[in-house]
Amino acid sequence: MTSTVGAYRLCSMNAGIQARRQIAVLALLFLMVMVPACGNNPYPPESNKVIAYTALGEDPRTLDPAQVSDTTSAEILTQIYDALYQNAYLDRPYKVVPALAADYPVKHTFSENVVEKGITKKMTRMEYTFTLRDDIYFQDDPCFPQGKGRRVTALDVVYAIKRLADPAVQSTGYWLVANKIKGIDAFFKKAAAAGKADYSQEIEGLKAVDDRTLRITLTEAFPAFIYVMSMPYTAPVAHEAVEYYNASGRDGFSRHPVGTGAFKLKSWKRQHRIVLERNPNFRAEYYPLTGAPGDAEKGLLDDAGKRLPFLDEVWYSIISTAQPVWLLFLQGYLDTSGVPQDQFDRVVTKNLELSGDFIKKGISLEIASDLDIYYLAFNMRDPVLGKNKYLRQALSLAYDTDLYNEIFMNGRAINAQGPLPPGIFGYDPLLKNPYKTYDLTKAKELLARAGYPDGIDEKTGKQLELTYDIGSDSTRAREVAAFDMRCFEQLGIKMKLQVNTWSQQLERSHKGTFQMFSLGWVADYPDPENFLQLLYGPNAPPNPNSSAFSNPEYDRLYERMKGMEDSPEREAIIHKMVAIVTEECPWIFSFHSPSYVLRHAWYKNGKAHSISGNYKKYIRIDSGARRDYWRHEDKPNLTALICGLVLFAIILAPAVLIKYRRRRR
Amino acid sequence: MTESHLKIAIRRIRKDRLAVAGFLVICIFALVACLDCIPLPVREASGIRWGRTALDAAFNKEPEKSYSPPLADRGLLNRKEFALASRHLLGTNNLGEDVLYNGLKGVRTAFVIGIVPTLIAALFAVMLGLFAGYYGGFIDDLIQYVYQVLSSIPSILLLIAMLMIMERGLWQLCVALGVTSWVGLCRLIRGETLKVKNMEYVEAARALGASDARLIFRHILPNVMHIVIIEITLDFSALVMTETVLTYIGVGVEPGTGSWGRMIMMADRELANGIWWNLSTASAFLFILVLAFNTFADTLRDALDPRLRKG
Amino acid sequence: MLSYIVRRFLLAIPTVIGVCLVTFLLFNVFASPEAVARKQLGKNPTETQIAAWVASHGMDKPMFFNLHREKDGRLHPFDSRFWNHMRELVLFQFPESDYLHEKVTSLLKQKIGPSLSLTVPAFLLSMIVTLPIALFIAYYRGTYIDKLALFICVILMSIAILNYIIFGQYLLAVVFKYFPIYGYDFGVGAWKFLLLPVILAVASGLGGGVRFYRTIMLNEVRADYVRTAMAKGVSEEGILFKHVLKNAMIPILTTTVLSIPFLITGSLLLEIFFGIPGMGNLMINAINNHDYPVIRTLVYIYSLLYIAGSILTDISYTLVDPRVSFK
Repeated sequence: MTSTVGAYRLCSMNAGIQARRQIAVLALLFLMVMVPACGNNPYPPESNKVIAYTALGEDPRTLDPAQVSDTTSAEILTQIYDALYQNAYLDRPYKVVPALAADYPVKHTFSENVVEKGITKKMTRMEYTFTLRDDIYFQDDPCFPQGKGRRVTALDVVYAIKRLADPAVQSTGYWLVANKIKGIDAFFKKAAAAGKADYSQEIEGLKAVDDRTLRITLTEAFPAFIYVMSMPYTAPVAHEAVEYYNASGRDGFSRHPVGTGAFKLKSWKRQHRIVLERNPNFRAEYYPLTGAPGDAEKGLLDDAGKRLPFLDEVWYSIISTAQPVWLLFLQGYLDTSGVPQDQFDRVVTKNLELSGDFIKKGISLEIASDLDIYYLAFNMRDPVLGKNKYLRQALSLAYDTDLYNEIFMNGRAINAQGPLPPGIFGYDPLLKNPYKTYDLTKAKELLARAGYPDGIDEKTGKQLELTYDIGSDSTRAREVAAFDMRCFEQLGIKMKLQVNTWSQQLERSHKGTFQMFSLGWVADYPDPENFLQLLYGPNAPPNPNSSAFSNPEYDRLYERMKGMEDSPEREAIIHKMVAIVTEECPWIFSFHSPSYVLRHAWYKNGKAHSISGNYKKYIRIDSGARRDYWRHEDKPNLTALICGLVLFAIILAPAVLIKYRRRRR
Repeated sequence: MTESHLKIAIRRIRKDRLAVAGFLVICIFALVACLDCIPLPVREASGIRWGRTALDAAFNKEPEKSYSPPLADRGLLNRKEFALASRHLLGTNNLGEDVLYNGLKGVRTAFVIGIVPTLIAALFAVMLGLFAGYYGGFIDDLIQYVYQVLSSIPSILLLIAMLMIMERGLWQLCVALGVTSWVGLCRLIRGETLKVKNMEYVEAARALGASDARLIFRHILPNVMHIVIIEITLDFSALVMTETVLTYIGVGVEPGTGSWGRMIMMADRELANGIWWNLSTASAFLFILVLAFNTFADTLRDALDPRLRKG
Repeated sequence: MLSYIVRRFLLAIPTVIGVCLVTFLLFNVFASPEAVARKQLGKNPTETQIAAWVASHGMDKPMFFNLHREKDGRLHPFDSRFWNHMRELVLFQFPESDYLHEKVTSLLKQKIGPSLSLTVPAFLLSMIVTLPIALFIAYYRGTYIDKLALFICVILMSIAILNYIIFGQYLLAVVFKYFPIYGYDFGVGAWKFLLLPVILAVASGLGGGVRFYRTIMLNEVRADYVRTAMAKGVSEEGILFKHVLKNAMIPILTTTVLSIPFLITGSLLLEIFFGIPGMGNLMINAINNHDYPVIRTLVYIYSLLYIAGSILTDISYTLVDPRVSFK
């Protein structure tokens, strides 16, 4: 027990200094608490600019068109870089229309005699002649003399494609042109050997005949090549930009895009925000005059014939968690949003329409389906699964896609019957895969025929054990795996879960040491070849045919179909191929994913499109309506604040009273 | 720590009623955790499986289809109401699992995470701290260098790197946490060893010809153990909270294990939906256990601290 | 004094080298370079592309000593993964991020600002709020206010920081609409985004901070020299008060100065929840994307900061407490 008297006197003398400090603290707290009049608005005060506000889940990895492979980067890149062709915005089924090109290309198929190892073979070649418009310019940028963007020529397209074949660029798009453009592999090999690419080296099949004419020779008949010319990989690139920004001391071309699109990059703050602004050098382009059936009624043709783009700026906020995106959308600070799975019941009614509260706020809902396929791949190289067709069919019949749909996809996914999604040429809406209806009895029958009655191996008497691989340890992946395994366990089979990291999974897939693994594929371009190549024998890992499915008849039909234009014959061949795949069952086809888009009333001309593209130029925003909405929504709750202050004062009161009592004593 | 010290400590603790209350709460939680450790056999077609625990037998209910509020009799999935198979005291989560059951499953994880890493850390720390303090000189410098280097590396990054090497799992997480946190304890033990080393009874024992090992383990070690015990109780809350943060970031326990961190991670999205029971249960369990440990740990530390022994 | 500082720095060098060694071991033990390359290269990388990626990152070189003779007969024994790694870190020639394709130094320059704008106000406000409260409670020690306050502190400490953030954000931003939910603005406009995170940071540290400072102050008040001074009848309690506070500053300093370098590293959870593009956010994204160059560099930098912090603490000890000499 220390000297209480002394300490007491000590502390009572502190009172003066203490009181001052306490008042300062109180004043500060008061200030802190009164400030919340600032409210919810996260944007700086608006100018007269017309701005669209959207969200991205993460930073784009790169804005170099040769390196872009993920959807986030593609979303930004496609607004800045235009290629020779672009995806038609309103038309369905999906097709491409000229963008930088003046018109569709002239195609010319011919045969050539090639001598290989002393044998003369007759090879089919296809030659494309593209004509560019004469009014296309790069955006203004410091990399050009006097900062003025120059005219785009065919040489810029040649340069862009050469970059794909430059090993130093590490392009993710080389596979699209490798083995297709004549002479490009030689260019790549030479560059790899020399350690540096020589851009002055000519590529035989890639010639700029003059400023406006580009001639590309393919080593096979490949009509879908026009889609390749609509992808950002083949967008014209200015060599001045690459040289300027890759010079030491500057941040690199991947962060300074210089394109020909409707927008250009204004600023990019990592993990915060990307701002695009209107490109004054954009060519004269107008809103389409026609669209798909039903577009006029939805008001999508109201701006027909008007000059694009309508927006001055586009703001992409980078928000990595889903919750703030949803909340900001509800408050009106984001113009569009998807529907988070856990919000589904609030947003969508029993009849799959938008619920009343949302309609009252002026929000609209669009439900579309994506060009993709999600499936469970069996490893055809596996000794147990690969040779046993009945086993695979049995597993397919035991899989309850509809229940999966209910639980994980809110019931809106499309139960996939085959590898092609709706909206693509060759899709058969009447296709009924006999092994896709959930039928446990038939599954057990087939299992018995496979040699495993009730899941027990006839020959060894042991229970059949299968391993299910997942490539990530997320909760979602585990939940899906648990569901899938439960389906198969109903047959009496023992299921084992193998958790890998994504890189481990790729390795196992490459080596063929897995048994089954869930995958998805999103279309690169709207041609059925892009999906059917996933089952083409020679495309075994490391290429996308993860099952290593190899059927000679299928392969033969594929090679034929690949070189054909869309026609009834092509459709017939595709149906035959799909029939082979549904019977052989190398995959359990799961679903095609639905996409939900919610839009506020002031966001005009929005239409869901499965392929990333330059669609922001069609969007119009009614800024006045948006400002009204903000004013209406953003009302800080002052009553609660005052209650809080009163409560705080009440708590503090006894302490203050005691202090005064002591002081007086 | 000799017997009389223990008795003094217990007497002191008993005086503080809050601490006793805390201790009782801890015992209740420990009981739940123990229940979860007893495996029960389940007869299956392929033989006997030892997957269920006593806790499962007591509390596990069949999963429903989806969400339901506490004590409700109907749940909601995809705009359709569905009837519930049984009453759930605290409702069900998005997969239809009973929330109370999930909360109770997390107790064992909490205890394991709260205690085991410190034990593992203590293993390294005591060994190295004793040797460093006792032998001094080059060994001391070497051990100090090692733990200076290790403590300079931010523990969260070290933790994540280790978890990338090993598979995910509760015990791997304990090892990783233990390995990244032994430094502080080692410093304390080294300091205490230095103090105790020069005390009279140790000098006496040395004069009587006791070997180094005997001195270290029979004389010095018992007198530094109280630090370890204090450390275990002090670190418990911090470790349990760390687990929730790590799970939130995505590097915590595997999804099969019960974990309050996982419940919180899934639940923050649900709050805006009006689904409060999942988050509240996990938070409440966490809060009560941590509070109990905090009140008990304070008193325990005061009781065991030799400096306050003058009373 | 200067020689002391210099000596401390020199002593820190072996530690820094040790850190570099440990990070090298850590980051070269797992994930084969091919797997990392495949992850970073997108959909259909060809074998040649993978090989090119691995080569450009120097991962195909031998581990410790390069005894492979070049075409021109020259030998570069120190062109190995280990020595390149050491050189990179020690000379501050940081690499480029795999995922963001940007030099780590430039990323750091962008991220330090936002982190500081959050942690510095939180730190200062925390001091301003908790110290007076601790003094206040020390003034009333022994009374029911002291006991009540202690109890409240323990309760506040027992609430997980995640709960503070989740409930705080929900209540104050979503329901009551006082603050923006999420986001940031560079420059002066940042203040309205920082209010809520700073308040939550202070609130969550309140319990522990007040308890800690209270303990320190009470320790000083009970000390012998105070009793002696009282007995001597030193009238100027103000001076006594100064002595007490000054002695209390030593343990206070230990904790606060040590944490100053960490102001730069930012608060992970707050940055994630409120979308503040700082160092914490950078670290989390690097971890999720397996962006090894960034993680390596961050580990090194954080270690340097820690070492700097401990040197600062030692120096401030000598400044504040004349008893501690320059040994």
